[in-house]
Amino acid sequence: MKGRIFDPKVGRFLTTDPLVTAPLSGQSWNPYSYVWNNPLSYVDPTGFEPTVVMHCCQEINDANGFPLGMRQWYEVVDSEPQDQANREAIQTGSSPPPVDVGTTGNSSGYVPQPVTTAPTDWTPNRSSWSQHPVVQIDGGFIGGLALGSVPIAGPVVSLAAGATIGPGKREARIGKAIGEMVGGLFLTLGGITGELIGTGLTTTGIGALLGVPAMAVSAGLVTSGMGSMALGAWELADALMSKGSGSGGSGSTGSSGRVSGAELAEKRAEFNRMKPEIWKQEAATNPGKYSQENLERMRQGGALKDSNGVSMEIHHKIPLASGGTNEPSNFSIMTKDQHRLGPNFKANHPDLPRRP
Amino acid sequence: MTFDEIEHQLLSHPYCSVGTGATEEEIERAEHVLRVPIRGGYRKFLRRFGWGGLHTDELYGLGAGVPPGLDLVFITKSERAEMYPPLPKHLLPVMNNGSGDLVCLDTTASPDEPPVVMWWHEDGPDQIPEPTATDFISWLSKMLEERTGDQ
Repeated sequence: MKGRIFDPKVGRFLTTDPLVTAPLSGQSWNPYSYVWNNPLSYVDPTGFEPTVVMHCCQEINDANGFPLGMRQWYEVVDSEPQDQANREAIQTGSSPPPVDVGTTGNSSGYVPQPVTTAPTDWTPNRSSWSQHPVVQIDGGFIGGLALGSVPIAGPVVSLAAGATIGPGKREARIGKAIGEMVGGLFLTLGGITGELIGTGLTTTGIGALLGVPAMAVSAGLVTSGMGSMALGAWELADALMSKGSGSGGSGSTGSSGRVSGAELAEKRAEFNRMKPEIWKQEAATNPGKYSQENLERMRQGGALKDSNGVSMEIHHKIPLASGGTNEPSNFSIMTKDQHRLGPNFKANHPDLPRRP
Repeated sequence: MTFDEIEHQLLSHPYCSVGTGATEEEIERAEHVLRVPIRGGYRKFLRRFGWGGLHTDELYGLGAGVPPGLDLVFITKSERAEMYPPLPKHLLPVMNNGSGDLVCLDTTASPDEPPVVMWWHEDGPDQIPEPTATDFISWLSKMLEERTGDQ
């Protein structure tokens, strides 16, 4: 092990782990632990960072196909680059996809679609640019600053808009709230300054006629500014606690928040009910993509089969357990392996529970 | 619904596709390889049909002509060793619901007539399988009724 010194006689490391590789894992902060105390799942050949051990199996059969046993071995996977590469390949469709040749060997060939939500293109001059988080925060901040700087504009606009438009993207709401707080602060400081000047004018007796009205206006500015700050703080808390997009644009793939209990059960039951219709729709929409054999099966509500005769799976791009829906836009057709094979599972379900 | 009624309903369905039944030797071999008991209604299903069901809901099984995608032994080993979350060894998968979730028999709960549970792929490796029917025949009856109603 290159990164640490191990004494085999005492079975202990003589040096501490130089890196905290997973700050959110308690085991990672133990400088004398090995692979987060999980040697069944990880190894650490470099001494710097745990890597995944993949359990590989292959069935061994005799000439008649009778299973004689399993050949098993372990492979060390450089997890993050592997996952990243896998994810990118999946997202861009760059890896050669399996082709459905049908069991009769005469199909037109099935080419699986890219299997996860395509990476968002933030390049300028695209419609998605306006959805970029930075743009959303900046735009929200400027709007919030304007509202917060104008007395009572923030509360009035919030009350008026609340009934007519959605709450907007979370980033924009955060930006707006901060903008309102900053604008309100400016307003308050301006009001206090006005109070001081007005007080000075009044007490010196030089311009009581000017000083008294100035104090009244300034008091209004202070009140309004503090109101804007309070409203901004309220909206900021609300935005930070919200689950995601409140309106427009992202449709069924816009939000993520854990769903459980009766709501999740109903979504799963709904999928089960509509499953045959999903395949019928796919056959009707893309008849040229599939073999006659598969088309016939799909028109009867059966699942598309891959080239190995294994049913394809319908992946929910946003998992039902994370707030996803049974809308077609949330579906992606995958082979079993593409969907759930070890590293692919992680790439396809990045927010779902996994063992640390 | 009795097993005979299930048999009648299944075979009279226009989109039925089943095997010809598995032998006792084939079932025992699967029990040995997978190290789980195969008993109760599912064993009856294996003996009578081997594998299959409706095109919308195909059951894993054994016997002559079993397609690779429905081969109980092959699928179970794959779900245990290759897929995520790994299927616990006491769960015997009988069907994939189409999105990667597995209908399973919990062989430890009641080996002679195991209850049917769901293993949800979105719920991670530490989930407690969700009970869905007290036994295989009840589950199969309900599933057939739902699909027959869809026609």
